[in-house]
Order: sequence, then structure tokens, then C-alpha cells
Amino acid sequence: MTSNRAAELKALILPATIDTLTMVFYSSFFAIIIGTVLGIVLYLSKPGSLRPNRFLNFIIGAIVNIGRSMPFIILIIIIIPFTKLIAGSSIGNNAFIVSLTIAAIPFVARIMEASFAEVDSGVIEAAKAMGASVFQIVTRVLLPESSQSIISNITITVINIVGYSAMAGTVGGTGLGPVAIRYGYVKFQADTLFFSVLILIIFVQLIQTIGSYASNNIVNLTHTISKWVKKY
Amino acid sequence: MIIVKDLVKIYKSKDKDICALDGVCLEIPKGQIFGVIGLSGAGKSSLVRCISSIEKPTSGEILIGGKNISKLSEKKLRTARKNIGMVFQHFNLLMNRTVFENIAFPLEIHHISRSEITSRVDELLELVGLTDKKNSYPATLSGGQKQRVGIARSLAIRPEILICDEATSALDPLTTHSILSLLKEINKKIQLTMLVITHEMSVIKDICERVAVMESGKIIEEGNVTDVFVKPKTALAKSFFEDKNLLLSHDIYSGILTGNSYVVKVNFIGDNSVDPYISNAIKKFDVDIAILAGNIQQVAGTIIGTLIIEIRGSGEKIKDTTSYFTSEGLLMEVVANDI
Repeated sequence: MTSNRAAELKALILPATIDTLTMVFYSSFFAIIIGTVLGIVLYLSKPGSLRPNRFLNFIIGAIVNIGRSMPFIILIIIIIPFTKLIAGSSIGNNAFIVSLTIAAIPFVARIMEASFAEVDSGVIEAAKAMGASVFQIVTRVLLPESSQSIISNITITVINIVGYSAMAGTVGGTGLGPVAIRYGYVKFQADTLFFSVLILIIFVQLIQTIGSYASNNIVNLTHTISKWVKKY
Repeated sequence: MIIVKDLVKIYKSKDKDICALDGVCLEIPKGQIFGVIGLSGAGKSSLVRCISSIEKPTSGEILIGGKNISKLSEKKLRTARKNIGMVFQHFNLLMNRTVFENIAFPLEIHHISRSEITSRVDELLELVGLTDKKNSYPATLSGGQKQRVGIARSLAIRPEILICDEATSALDPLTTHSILSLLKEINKKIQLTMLVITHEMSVIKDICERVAVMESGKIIEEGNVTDVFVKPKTALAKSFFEDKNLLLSHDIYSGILTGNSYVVKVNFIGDNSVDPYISNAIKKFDVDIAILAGNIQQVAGTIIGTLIIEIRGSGEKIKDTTSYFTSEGLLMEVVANDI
């Protein structure tokens, strides 16, 4: 490989990497926050839970199921009006962030709900018997007690979003996916394809490693952080 | 002080309604340890869940410290719960919190200041003997240690009453004993009113002053533990309190009757267990007495001795002997006779 070709590749792949990172970061961020809130609502509104509400549970459950059964490519098209409303345009990276977020929210909501359901009901009952409010139970029992599993969920979600981000090209977005397709596949540049894919693999490996470490050490980590916060 | 009046709890399901509590009445004065014993499904758990207001009773009243908690709004109920401490069978500790943080949990909920929490938790850790485990996580503790954390946590907000729901049922006999001694010690120290729910007779025997026997949602027998222990009225109470080593099988004892004899069971309770009744009777009435079986145990702090004896002699003399025992206040029951 000539140094000329290397410079070309760098000019192509480096900005694409940054674009992918940006898109994955923002859509993961919004999807996890909104999805977790929906997961909490699903958990609390279940019959026999702390705030049973059959109607609310059914409606949110139905929306989540519809969202999850939709192929991503179709979802992108269907939500175009909504994307336009939020991002101001139906094409480009911002538009794609909206689509990615919307696609990930139902998934996050369901896996978070499942994590909350794993928290021992006896512990919830004990907190209730001690006089904890529903808000206190959520913030002091439900979330901390399922933190290991929440971190695993976040890891899975981010990795899924990295995968979906390859489809940014469909709405005129940029990033490693479109570069790999446009240059690697359409223009037969094997080296471009190779390096794009390599960077994606490194991404996923990194996310999984960090996620697993954080999941195993979340309790110690939060303690260290809270001690550190108290110090300063 | 806990007063329960005509408590009814009906669980509605599609097929049929299940009546878990059927008019339960209780009165537990301040500082007393009150036991409720019953088999699974007798309604013990429903009773606890209603008194701790985890569930709303279908009808009836629950007064704790003079306050009717069955009629409070949810917000007021949360404050009222400060008055009730609970110890659970499966400890229900927060696994991601240290021992210290677990005990601090109820204090945090009720917005107690940081410095106060630290001093209170340290005090409780000392009370339950876990100061060295302060920063350990529940997963690293033994069952008995976990229950000590549970007890410390239940006492954190200084409740007036403590409910122990099968608190020792998941523990081995030795640990059970140490947990019961701890509960008794706490009861003495701070005059805590305690409601102890269990299916283990030994728990009642060890720490309770009064006991209620439950069956199918009703209290079928209630009284001082010593009384219920030596003179159970209902078959269920009998099956709980009967000494399995002194089974009064008529068949066994009638087999050894030697002609002109009675086999009787005599209970010696408290102070009168040390007087020499047997030798007195032999001297006084010229009868022979053979001891067939016997034991001695402590029930609610009272020594109770039980002897199964065969009294041999003429019918008249045996009658004199038995009436002598009765007149001395011993509890006596004829098991078999061949006169």
C-alpha cells in the first residue's frame, strides 16, 4: 500500500468513524433514558405491582410490541414525518439519530422491564413496609438492585445500535457503514471495506469489554464515585 | 400496643373467594411478646400483611398505639409505618448495599440526617454484634448474620412494635436459638411489643408470653404459653405442644398394667416442681409408684416437669393418691387403668 493510498483511506475513514461514534452516542443516550423510563412505567403498571394500571400497561405494551416487530428499514420510512418534526429534515445524520433512537426505545423498555422483574419481590415489599414511597422504591431499590443487569442491557443496546448505524446511508447519512458500502462494495475497494469493518469490530469489542467490567464492578464503582463526590 | 378487631380478609379470584382471615381478634399489651402459631395456610401471613398494612383488610380494625391504621390515607400510612418494624423469613436485604447501608435504609427513607444515621447505625450494629461486618455485603454473610442485619434494620427507626414473620424458619436450630435470645434481649431492653408468627413450637416456647393458635383464618385457642402448653384445649394445639417423646399412647401403657394399677401423667409446673410429691405419696398412702417416663423443660421461662408413673395398690389407695396430687395443684391425667 502506497503512502498516498494510506492518506486517502485515512481521509475517508477517520471522519466516518467520528460520525458513527457521534450517532451511536446520541441515539444510545436518548434511547436508554426514554427506554428506561418506559421500562419503569411498564414494571409499575403491571397487575399486582406498585401502581397497577391495566389500561396504561396495555397501551404501552402494545406500542412497544409494534415498535419491536417493525424491521428497521421500514421503521425509518414510516416515521419520516416525525423525524422531520424533530430533526428538521428527513435526511442526514440528525434525521438518522432520530430513527435509531426510535428503533431502540422499545427494545430498551422491554429488557429493562425484565431486569426490574428480577428484583426480589420480598425486598420491594420490605421497602414498602418501611414506609418508602413509590419514587423512593424506584430510585433506592429497583434501580440500584438491578444495576448489574441494567449495565448489561445498556451494553447490548449500544452494540445493537452500532449494528443498525450501518444503515445510515439509506437516509443520506454518513459514517463507517455508508463508507463500507459505497467505497468497499460499490467501488470494489477491498481495503476500505476491510478497515471500516475492522474499526466496527474494535468498537464492539471495546463496548463489550467495558460493559462487562462495569457490570461486574458496578457496586464498587458507585461506592468509589460517591466517596469521591463526598470528598470534593 | 396492638389491638385487632374482627379482622376479615377475603382474596377475590375468578373461580371463588378465599377467606384468609375470618374475624380475628387480638390484643397485645405494650412490651409483650405475643406468638401466633399455625400450619401453612392458616392465615398467619395474611394477618401479618394486614397488620403491617402491606395489604388492606376487607373489614375490621387494626389499632397500633391507639391509631386506626386500616383507615389511613397512603401518605399518612407511610408515616405510621415508622411505628412498625418487620423481620422477614428470607431477610429481604438489599444485595447491592453494605450491612451499614442496609440498616441505614429506613432512616434514609424518613429523611434522617447523615450524622444521625451514622451514630444510630453504629449503635444498632453493636446491639446485634455485627460491628466488624459493617462494610460487608449480605452475600458474604451467613443466614444468622443476615437475620441480625434484618433485625437491626427493623429497629432503626425506633418502632413501637416489631413483627417477626417466620424470622427463624430459614435458620438452623443453633442459629435460631441465638436469634431468639437476641429478640428477647431487645424486648427486655426497650420494652418493645412483639408479634411473633411461626409454625415452630420451640419459638413460642422460648420467647413468647402469650400464644394464639390459628386454623383456617380463625384464632381457635389463646392463652398464656404455659397454660396452653400443659392444658391445650384444641386438637391442633395439642399436636403442636405435645411432647413427642412422651406420647401418651394408651396401647403402650395399658400393656404394662400389672393389675390394680393406674398409669397417670403428672405435670409439675414452676415452683412446685421441686417438692417431693412422689415419695410423700408412697409414704402417706402405702402405694407403689413406678416411673415409666419423664422429662423437664423450660416454657416461657417456667420450669415444667412431666412424669408418667404407674401407681400400684388397692383401688381406694390409688384414688387417695390421685386426689392428693390434684389437691397439691399438680396437673394430672389418667392414661390407662385396669381397675
